Amino acid sequence: MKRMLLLFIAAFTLVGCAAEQNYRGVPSPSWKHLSAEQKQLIVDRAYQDEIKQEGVVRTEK
Amino acid sequence: MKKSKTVFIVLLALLCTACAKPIMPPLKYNKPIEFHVAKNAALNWEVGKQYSSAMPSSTSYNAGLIGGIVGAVIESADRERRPSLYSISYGKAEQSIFMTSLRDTLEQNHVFKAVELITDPRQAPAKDTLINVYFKTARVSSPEKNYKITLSVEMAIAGAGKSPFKRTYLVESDTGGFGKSVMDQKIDVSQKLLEKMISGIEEWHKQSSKG
Repeated sequence: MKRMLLLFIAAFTLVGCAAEQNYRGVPSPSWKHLSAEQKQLIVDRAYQDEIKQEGVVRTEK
Repeated sequence: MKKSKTVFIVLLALLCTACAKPIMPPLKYNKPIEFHVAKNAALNWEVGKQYSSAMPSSTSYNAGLIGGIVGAVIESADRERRPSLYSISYGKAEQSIFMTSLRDTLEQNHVFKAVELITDPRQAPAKDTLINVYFKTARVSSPEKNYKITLSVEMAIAGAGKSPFKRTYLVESDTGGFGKSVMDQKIDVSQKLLEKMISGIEEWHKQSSKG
């Protein structure tokens, strides 16, 4: 039982440390496999979407 | 000991899923393309809605009460912290690979004089041909339907002095065949879309040459 508890704590800590990051809507495991050009394209796309959204918010105000 | 073994297996499975997350490779178009447009083209990419599918729990029913609970708690925490490992989608990453593949296909086959990828249609010079690719919906079905991928993509082409052209393509991945992975389905659906788009550009070229 003690061993199980230790194992659980160890596993929980391990899982807790490995929280994934998100780059402009793309999770890090996928992001790592993209080329520099594809990453740039995603960043540009996200930037344009943000500008669009900001424009909508401003016109709503 | 049997229970701790089960927990170890769950943990190992969790760690392995972190490693096994390959992404779609660049697409290859092997058919000959016989038409050419003596103009530059700008390829604009737009993203619509994405519907992902959650993967079922990997906790074993034979783990026993404590083993099962521990496994489920670990998996639940991991799902929260690394959601992408437990869901399948045709998202921005796949779409960006598709867009660069489409650009490469058009360039390699000299369909246009030059092709540039853009994300804002205003970036395109007025004399260029503007090809707008809008991924309206990218849907992945449930595990019961073998994560079938359905894409609804709108392609609009506008060129100086030419009438506008618009087509919507609905493509589905082929789930048939033993051992067909999600990756195979992503490649399959993307390849189908690529072929439809090349045919669409050819249709536009024929129409605009007549008119």
